[in-house]
Amino acid sequence: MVSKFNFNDLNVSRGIGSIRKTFNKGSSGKKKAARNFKIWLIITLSMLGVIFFMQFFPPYDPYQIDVKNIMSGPSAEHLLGTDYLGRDLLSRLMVGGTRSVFTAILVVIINATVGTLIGIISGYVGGKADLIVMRITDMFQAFPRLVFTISIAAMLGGGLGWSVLAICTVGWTPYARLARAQALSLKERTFVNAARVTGQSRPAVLFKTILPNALTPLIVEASMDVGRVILEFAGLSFLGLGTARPYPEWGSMLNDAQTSFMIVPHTALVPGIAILIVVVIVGIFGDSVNEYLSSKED
Amino acid sequence: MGKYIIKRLIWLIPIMIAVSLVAFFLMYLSPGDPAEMYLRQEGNSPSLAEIEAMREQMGLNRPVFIQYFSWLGGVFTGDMGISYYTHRPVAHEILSYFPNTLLLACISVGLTIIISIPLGIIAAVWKNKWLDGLIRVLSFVSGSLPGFFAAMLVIILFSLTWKMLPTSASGNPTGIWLPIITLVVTMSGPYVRQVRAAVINELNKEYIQMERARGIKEYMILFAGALKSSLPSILTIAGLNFGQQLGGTAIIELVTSYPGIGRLAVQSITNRDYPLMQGYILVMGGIYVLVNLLVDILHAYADPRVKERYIAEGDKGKRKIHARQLELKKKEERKEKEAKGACKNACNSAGINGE
Repeated sequence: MVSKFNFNDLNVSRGIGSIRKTFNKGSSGKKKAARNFKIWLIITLSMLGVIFFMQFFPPYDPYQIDVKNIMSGPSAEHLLGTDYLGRDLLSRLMVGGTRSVFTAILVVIINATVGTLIGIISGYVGGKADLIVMRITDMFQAFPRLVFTISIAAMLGGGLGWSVLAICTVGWTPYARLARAQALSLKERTFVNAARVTGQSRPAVLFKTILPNALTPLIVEASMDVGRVILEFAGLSFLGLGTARPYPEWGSMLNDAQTSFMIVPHTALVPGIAILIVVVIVGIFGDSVNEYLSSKED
Repeated sequence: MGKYIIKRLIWLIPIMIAVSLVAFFLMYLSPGDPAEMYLRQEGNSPSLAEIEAMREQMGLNRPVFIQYFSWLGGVFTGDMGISYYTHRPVAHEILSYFPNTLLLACISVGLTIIISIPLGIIAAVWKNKWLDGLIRVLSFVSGSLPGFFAAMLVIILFSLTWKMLPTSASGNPTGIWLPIITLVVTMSGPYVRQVRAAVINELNKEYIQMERARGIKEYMILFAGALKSSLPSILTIAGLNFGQQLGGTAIIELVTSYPGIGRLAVQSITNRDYPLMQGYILVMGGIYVLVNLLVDILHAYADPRVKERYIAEGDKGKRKIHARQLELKKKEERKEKEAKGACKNACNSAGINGE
C-alpha cells in the first residue's frame, strides 16, 4: 500500500521549490538588485551624457530652411530626413534633446525639494499648519493633473519658464504627502525621541534625524517621476505652450509634424521614438532604484 | 461605513468651493481683456468706447468678489455664461461634448481591463520566462509612450498603412476606434504590471500551497484566489483612470480630432474662451472628486481590510477616548516602575553600604 503512494501526486514538489526560492532570495536577490541598479545607473548616465554633448555637434544648422529638400525622407545627405520646412531632423533632434530631458530633471529636482520640505515640516509640526497643507494638496488632487497644468501654462502665457512653473505648481503635492507620512511615522520612533532628549533643537532633529531616514521612498518617487515629467513637458510643447516655436524641443518637433505626418510619417517618428527611448530607459532605471532601495531595507 | 461616506460627502463642499475659486481666478488673472476679445471674435477691431460699453455690459467693471459670486450664483442655476467663441451657453457646449467623452472613457477603460488581466496572469504564471519578458517589455513601452505620439502612430498604422480606419474621428462612426486604440495601448502597461505583481504576490502565499497540496486544479487556484486578490488594486487604478478620462484625454482627442470634452478644453484655451474654460474646470473638478469618492467606497467593499480602516477613521472620537485611556494606563505603569526602580536602587545602595 505504501509503495503506491507517490509524493508528486500531492503536487507539493512545486510548492517546496518556491518555498526554497523565497528562502534563497535573501542574499542573491539583494546582489541582483544592486547589480541591476549599477548597470542601469551607468546606462542612464551615459545616455544623459550623450544627450547633453550631442547638441554641440549637429551636422547642419537646425534652423536652416531648405526649400529644395522639403519633407524628404532619410538619405545619405540627411540621415533622418527633413521636416516641412526642409530643416534637417537629425540636427534638430541633437540640439533639442538637452532642453527636453534636462528641463524635466530640473523640474523633478525642484518638485522633490519643495514638496519634501513642505511635507516633512508640516508632518513634524502638525496641528493647524499640517491641516492647511493637506487641504491644499487635496485641492490640487481634485483636478486631472494634465488639464490643470495646461490651464496654468495657458494663463501664464506659455514659454519655457512659465511651462516649468506650471508643472511645478501641480507637481510638488505627491512629494509633500509622502514626506508628511514619513515624518508622521518617524517622529514617534525611539531614535528620534533619543535625539530630542539629547537636547537638540527642533530644526536639528527634523533635518539631521528625521530627513535622512525619510528619504528612501522620496528618492524612489523622484526617479519614477522623471519619465512622467518628460512626457508632460513634451505635451505642453506639443500644444504650443512649452518652448517657443523655432527651437527644436522634441515635443514641439512633434507639434511641427502634426500637419505633415500623414504624408511623411518620419517627421513624427523621429522625435517620437527619441522621447520613447529616453522615457523607457529612465523608467527602467527608476524601477531598478526602487528594487535596490527596497531590497536594502529588508 | 455610512458615517464615513457622509463625512466624505461633507468634505466635498470645501473642496468644491476651492475648485470654483481656482476656476474663477485662474481665468480672471489671465492676461488680456475679455471684452476686447469678445468683440474681436466677431471679426472687427473695436474702438475704445465700444470696449468700454462691452465691459459695462459684461459686468467686468464690478468688484472682483461680486463678479465671483454672480458667476457662482449663475452656476447653481445652470447658467455658466456665454462662450466668447461660439456665442452659445457654456453649459450647452459642455453637455453636447460630454456624452462623447463618456462613451470613449467607458469603452477604453473596459477594453483595457479585459486585455490586461489575462496578460498579467500569463506573465505571472510564466514568471521569468521569455513570454513574461516580452509582456514586461511591452508594458514598459506602453507606459512610456507619449499620448500624442501614440495617436499619430495609430493613425499611421491603422489609417494610412492598413487603411482600416478613417484618419479623423470626427464625422465617421468607425473613427472612434482611433482614440480607443490609442488609449488602450497607452494605458494597459500599468494595469498589466499591477496584475502581474498582485498575482505573483498571491501565488507565494501559504494558502495557495495548501490548495495545491489538496490537489485543486491550477487554473481554479489562479482564478479563484489570485484574481480575487488582485481585483481591488485594479479597481482602484481603473477608477482613477476613469476619472481622468472623463476630464478628456485632451491631447489624444486633439490629434485624432475626436469631438470630446478634452479637445473642447484645449480649443477654449487657444481661443482664450474664458467662460468655457471656467465651466470646464468646475465641472471636471466636480466629476473627478465624485469619481474618486466612488472608487474609495468601491475599494472598501472589495477589500474588507480597507473598510475596517475607514470605519476606524469614522470613529475617531471613540479612538481618542481609547488613546486617552491607554495613556493613563501607561502613566500608571511608569509610576509603578519608577517606584519599583527607586526601591531597587535603595535596596542596592543599602546592600552595597551593608558590605
